[in-house]
Amino acid sequence: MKRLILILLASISLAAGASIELFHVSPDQERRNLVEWNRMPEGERDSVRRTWQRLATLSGPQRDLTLRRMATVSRLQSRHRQRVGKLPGHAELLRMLKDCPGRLTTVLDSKGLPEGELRDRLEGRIKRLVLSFLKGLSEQGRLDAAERKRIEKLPYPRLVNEALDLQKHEEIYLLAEVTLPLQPVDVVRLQDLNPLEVAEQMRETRRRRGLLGRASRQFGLTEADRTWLADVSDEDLVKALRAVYEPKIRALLEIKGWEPDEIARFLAEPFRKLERKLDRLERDAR
Amino acid sequence: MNDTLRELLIDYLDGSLPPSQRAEVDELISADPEAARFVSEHEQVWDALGEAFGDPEVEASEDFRAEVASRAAGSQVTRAWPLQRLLGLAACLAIGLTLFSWWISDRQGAPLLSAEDAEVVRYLHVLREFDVIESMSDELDLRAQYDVLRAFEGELEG
Repeated sequence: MKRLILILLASISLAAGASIELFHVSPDQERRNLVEWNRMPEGERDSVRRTWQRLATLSGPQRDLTLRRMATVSRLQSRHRQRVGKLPGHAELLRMLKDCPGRLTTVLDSKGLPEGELRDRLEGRIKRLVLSFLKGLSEQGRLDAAERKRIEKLPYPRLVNEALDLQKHEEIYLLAEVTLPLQPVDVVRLQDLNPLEVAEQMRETRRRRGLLGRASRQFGLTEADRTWLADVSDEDLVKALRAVYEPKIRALLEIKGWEPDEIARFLAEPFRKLERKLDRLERDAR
Repeated sequence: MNDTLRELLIDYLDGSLPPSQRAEVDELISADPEAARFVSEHEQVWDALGEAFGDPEVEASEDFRAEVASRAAGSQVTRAWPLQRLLGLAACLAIGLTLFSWWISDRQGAPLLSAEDAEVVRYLHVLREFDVIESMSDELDLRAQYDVLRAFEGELEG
């Protein structure tokens, strides 16, 4: 009886929170879902309804974890659809997930490491990236020193979450304020997205348009650049962007009268810092 | 034969006259050959019609017509007031609009869903892969971390 009441309460809370998005689903995907739903036999619909009800019975932390995993699946599906034009099938989704440790091993250069150590190394790498991001933001006057200190002291999961939020706003700022004349509705749409989805979209924007920020107006991409960037893997995109932009940035700085060693130091910065510094440079020049 | 007499004879034929007046008409028929012929011809026609369309087994009771006449006299034909008519029209319009909007929404592929089904539909693409979510939780957690790594990519190089 007690269990029944708990299930009932959980169902009510899930229904009450119906208007709150569990994770973002694009209107386009929702329309496709509706078409799919209308095609489904009633038995299959019941099965999905039972899954939804099972989700309602999960306890708080377990439910949060499951929702995060669902959001990850949704991102993978959405990404696949953008690239291939349709959702991945069940087998394709499994393959994508099974490939992940292999890709991580390559990115982290950690072949042969046990899985536990691979995770530790991954966490360590993410933390260094986040701290570097916060430092760069602070250097550009986009983050208050006290706020930076506060965030840096947070435990790992909160540190990552707050940094992701900051990064999302920075990406929207670079895109909407200075790169493209976005409509307010597009900005609102981006602000509604999960930070990882914004990061994903901005990666694809850089692949198509190159640099974000004010400096993007200085450097147009050639057709050859675009073709090359379109075929580059995600893992190699930053390297490819650097290869495309280094000669263009060097030429611009030479015109501005920079000394060769100054230019070398500037170009030695990580790509994202370079992008932010170029934006600041253009802003100060006006 | 004037119209008044003709109407009186018809009332006599269809039995709607009260007994006292009926006796008077009986005397009139016996005295007036034209009236007698009118009654006779009409009885023949009505008898013929009765054989063609009527059921000889079924006959109205004697007071049937009088009963109907008295009820008809007691009832009043009520005319709808303009307000009632307007309300009726509004109700018809409301029903029509409801049916139309339902039809339109159905045509547009957006059938009425319950609140729960609407949520199920929103997340359908993920709910259908729920077994993957349950069976590959470690891989999914790793994938989420990998996405975070990718999000900050380019903040450090080398």
